Amino acid sequence: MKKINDLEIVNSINRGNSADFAILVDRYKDKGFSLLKRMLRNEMDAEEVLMDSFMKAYKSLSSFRNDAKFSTWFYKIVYNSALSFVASKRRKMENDLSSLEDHYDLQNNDDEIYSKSENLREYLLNLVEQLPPRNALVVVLFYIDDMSLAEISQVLDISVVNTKVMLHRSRNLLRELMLKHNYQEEIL
Amino acid sequence: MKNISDELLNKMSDNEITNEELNLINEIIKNNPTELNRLKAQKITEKLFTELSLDKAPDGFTDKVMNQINLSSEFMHRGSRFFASMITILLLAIIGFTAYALLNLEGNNSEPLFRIEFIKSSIQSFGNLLKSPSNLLESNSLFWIGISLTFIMLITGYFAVGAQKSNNSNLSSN
Repeated sequence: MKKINDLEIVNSINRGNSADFAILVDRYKDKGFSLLKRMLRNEMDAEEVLMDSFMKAYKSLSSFRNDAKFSTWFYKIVYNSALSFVASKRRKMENDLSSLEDHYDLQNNDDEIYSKSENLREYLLNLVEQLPPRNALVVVLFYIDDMSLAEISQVLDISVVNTKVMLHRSRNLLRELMLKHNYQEEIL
Repeated sequence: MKNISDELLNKMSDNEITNEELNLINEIIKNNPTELNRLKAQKITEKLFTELSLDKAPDGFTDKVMNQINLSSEFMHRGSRFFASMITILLLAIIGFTAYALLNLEGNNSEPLFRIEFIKSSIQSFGNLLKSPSNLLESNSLFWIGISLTFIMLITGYFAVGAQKSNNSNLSSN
């Protein structure tokens, strides 16, 4: 059966079939939740912000134009909602978000993450989970959602070059941690 | 001894590497086990990213969103209906008041200028009525008080029924 595309669903909702919004929610809830969980590092906060994001998306659906993909438009709402949420939480996390390109915490916590992991693969996946929020967002959108760097840069409202730098830094960080313990020999 | 730069490793992951650069990498790793290890680590990192799994949103999340949307749209719909009712009543009142003024003048003086004067004086006396509460006890005023109270009661009743319906639907959805 042919899968209905996002634009067709949006048009249907704008014609008054509000129940069709459930299809979009089903389609994007897990991806949105994954992004928010990695950004906010708290499931309850992630759920609250995701709900808020869907409500905002529904209310401004009539203003959605076909010049961007729905996913890009929606993730931008998710990202901005997360930033607003963080700002309202005493700006504690905002400091984290403004220094997203620092990897020192991850490097310092490396041994602790290792001791909590059952095997090497789990350790490495845990490292990925611990990437700074914005870097994690870029990694998830690029690898899980197959979004292009240009689309990700639209979501984050930064240049394509900066987006690419963030992706490269995430790769470099993991690679160096792996080399530090000589894990690549055991995995391959 | 030559190293493979970070830039080159990332170019390889991004499939942006040229044949010359690829040859250079092959040349380097032939004689340098450390750089070979860096290359292996880069490949594993790339593979790990592709193995990242999605976290599942909590159960019943879609229903929660749709309930929230239904509640908010019902509230907005009710709000717009209330606004429309208020405007309609106001318009009817203005039309009624003007018609009353014009009909009263039919037998007396039908000059347009005089009609306007009469409307002005009627509005003025209504303002006086609101300014001095003692006038409210006059016979005409009692009629208006009755109408106002009925109107307020109708609005209150409308919202009370709406709130009751909303509570019932919330209880049934939970």
